[in-house]
Amino acid sequence: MSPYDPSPDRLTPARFATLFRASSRVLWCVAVGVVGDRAHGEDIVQEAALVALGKLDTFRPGTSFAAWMGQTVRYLALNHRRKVRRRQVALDAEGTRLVPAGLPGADAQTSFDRSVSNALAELSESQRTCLLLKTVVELEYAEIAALLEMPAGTAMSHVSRARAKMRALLEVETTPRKEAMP
Amino acid sequence: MSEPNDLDPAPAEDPIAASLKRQFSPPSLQAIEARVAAEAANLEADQLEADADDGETGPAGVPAAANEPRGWWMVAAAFVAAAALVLLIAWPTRDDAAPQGEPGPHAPPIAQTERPLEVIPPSTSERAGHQLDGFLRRGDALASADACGPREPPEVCDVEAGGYPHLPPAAAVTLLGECGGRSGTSCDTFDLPADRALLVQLSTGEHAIVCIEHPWTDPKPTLPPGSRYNLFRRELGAYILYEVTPRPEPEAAPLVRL
Repeated sequence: MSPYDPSPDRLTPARFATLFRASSRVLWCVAVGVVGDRAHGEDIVQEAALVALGKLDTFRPGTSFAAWMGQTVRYLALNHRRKVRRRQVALDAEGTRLVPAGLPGADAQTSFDRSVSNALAELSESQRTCLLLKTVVELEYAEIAALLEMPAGTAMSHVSRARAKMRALLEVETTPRKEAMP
Repeated sequence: MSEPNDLDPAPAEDPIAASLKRQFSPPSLQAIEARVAAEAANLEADQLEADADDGETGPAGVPAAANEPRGWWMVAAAFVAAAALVLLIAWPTRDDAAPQGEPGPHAPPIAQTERPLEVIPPSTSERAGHQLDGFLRRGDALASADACGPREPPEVCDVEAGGYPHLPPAAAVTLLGECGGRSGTSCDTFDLPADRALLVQLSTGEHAIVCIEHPWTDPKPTLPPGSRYNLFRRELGAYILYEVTPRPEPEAAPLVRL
């Protein structure tokens, strides 16, 4: 059974483990899309799985596992993001904020990747999550819609706007340089 | 599922898409999947065992002994099913699970080699009790681990522990060390049966330890006979706290806040 299809039955622990395994990579993308930082994706997914496993009775037969787990991951990821922001405010107040140092000698790809990462951070949470799900794990719009509990058209619109904004933000990097005229 | 037409299809060789794939491809999640499978198997076994216990009481008018063989079979079947489930689910079979630069799908499963005790054995309570009893007798190695002590701004500690049980900085007991949680130090390092533990100095100068667990990973420790420590249990929100202390009353666990 696909995690995106409505499940007619209640979830047993064994069924949960099977469906979780089938969707863990997608759930990781949702977590990273919400927090905007891949460093905490695994922690959030694991915590969400253990929380959900303890609340199997809250799963409603007739709904999809992906929607149910997606909601739990988003909730925990939002909590995590809020905590990180509060912590950052505290660190800023202490004047101890760590600013990433430039990487001398970094190659062009590394530099471009950093620009892409910065541009991704400029997107809204929904745009970022939809774009990662579509681009990185190549979900269909209907699957994104089921996972994030939104219409497929909305998911498509988020991806389209995210791509447009990314291109605009990265115009300098993606536009081929013109050779200087002699 | 039928796929609607893309409003703005990405070019085949879109450098942005390529960069996103490079940077945001999910890592191998086998360790997490294995842990979830183990927890699920434990839960499944507990449920079957509970069903078996219900069966042992027997229907009205039927002696409990009449159902005993069936109960034993149910318990045995539960453990066999749990073990089979862990093997079935935790075994790496998915080809796309390993990203570039990481061991392939047929490499030894990381979770199984690093944490062979994911499936809690039947003697978990006694084992956990022995670990807790031994920890304080061995000394205070945990005191050198990360802790939100006076050397850090209290607000950072509070935020770090936000939503998690934590000792307020002004508590009457002193936090000496911490493992698990977001400390960056695993409690496995100290052979502690807890996801998170706090080593504290009590008002008498003695040391005690507070273990913080989720209900689904609760080891339900029992201290070994003759232990010089006492063990106290407290439920705090969605957490279970154990204080192992030489004192006759718990001092640290009641001070822990969410």
